[in-house]
Amino acid sequence: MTSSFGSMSVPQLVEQFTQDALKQFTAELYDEHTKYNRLSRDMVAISEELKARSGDQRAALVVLFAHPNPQVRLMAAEVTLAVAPVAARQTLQELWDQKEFPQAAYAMQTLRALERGDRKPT
Amino acid sequence: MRNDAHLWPQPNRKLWLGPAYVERKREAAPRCEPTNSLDADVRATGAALGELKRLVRSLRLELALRRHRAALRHVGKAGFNPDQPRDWHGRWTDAGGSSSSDGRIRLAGDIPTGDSPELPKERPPTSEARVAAYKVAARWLTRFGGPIGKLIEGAEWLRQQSPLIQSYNDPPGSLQELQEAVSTPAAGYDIHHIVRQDQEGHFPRELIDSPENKVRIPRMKHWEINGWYQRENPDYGWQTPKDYIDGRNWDVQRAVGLEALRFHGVLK
Repeated sequence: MTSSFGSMSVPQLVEQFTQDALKQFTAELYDEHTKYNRLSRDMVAISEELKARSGDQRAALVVLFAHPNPQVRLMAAEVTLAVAPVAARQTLQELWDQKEFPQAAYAMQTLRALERGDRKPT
Repeated sequence: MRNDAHLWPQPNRKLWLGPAYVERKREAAPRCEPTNSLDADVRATGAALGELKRLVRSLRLELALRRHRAALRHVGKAGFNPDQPRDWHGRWTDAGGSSSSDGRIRLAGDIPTGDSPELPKERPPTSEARVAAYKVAARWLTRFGGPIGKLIEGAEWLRQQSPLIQSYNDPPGSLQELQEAVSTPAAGYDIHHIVRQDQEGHFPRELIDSPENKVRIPRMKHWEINGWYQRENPDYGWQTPKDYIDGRNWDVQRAVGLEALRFHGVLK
């Protein structure tokens, strides 16, 4: 999949990102760690592809902050911290506040890493 | 790779850097303060608004088509069918019986309303499907609360798993409370090692099994933490936490283990 990202439009990349996150949600339910990790790598590749587009198109993923699925919101926030820092952090904080586990655990981990300066979004 | 990776001793080094030293380094490190972050957000949000509207229209159309297809099929739900489209917390989103291409749960991304999830009425034949149902039930209870009896109404096979589902919703405890609870095993709970048991090659077994390293935690939280260790994680440079801690000293592994307990809502 990764090799075809370069030929996809921004809306197609956003859609692919969404579908990958939904598959990750299911992979977590079924403890399919290898599949989960492969999907993570795909989503990182998509965000890198968007970043490389003119004007850094990762902001296109901000629409996913309103997605009903918590895994979609988590992953969108994780890869947009550099381009939408306030809204991305807010999305992570809401995952924690609403106790949307297990995504809440990953969200709080990232918020703590940002607070400590261990994570520097680029 | 974490930006502070150089602070941690490598597996082949004899040096130990204590947590206090690392904390001092952390305090001294410059913080990353985003500049013009609000402006960036406003621009990004504005640019994305049109796209959001388009996606909402598209989702509404898809939902209407799904309902239409479901109405045509007239297929009753009989037990847990992982091929049926489900929303984010496991509710069926149509009544259809068509299989997805990979034979797994498909997610329709419906809007959550807080209605009880529709759990399988019959005990699923595979452990994977049963575990998925436990997770859906326990997580729903965490978010929306209410009596467990009402939640599992119509899914009697889940009643015997009530301790498992209920323990998932325990409030976080202090380290002392979790350690003291080790002496009183209970249904729905596991004994968890803060520094993982698979590090036995690096540390003496007596240390791994010491009272300071053992806590009693809800079994499903135990599963979640074990899964967390195996998933690639942006805060470890997209390594798995398991790979990150492998070969590191006791203090680092314990610090990661305690953080995992906090992030998963087990430890205060």
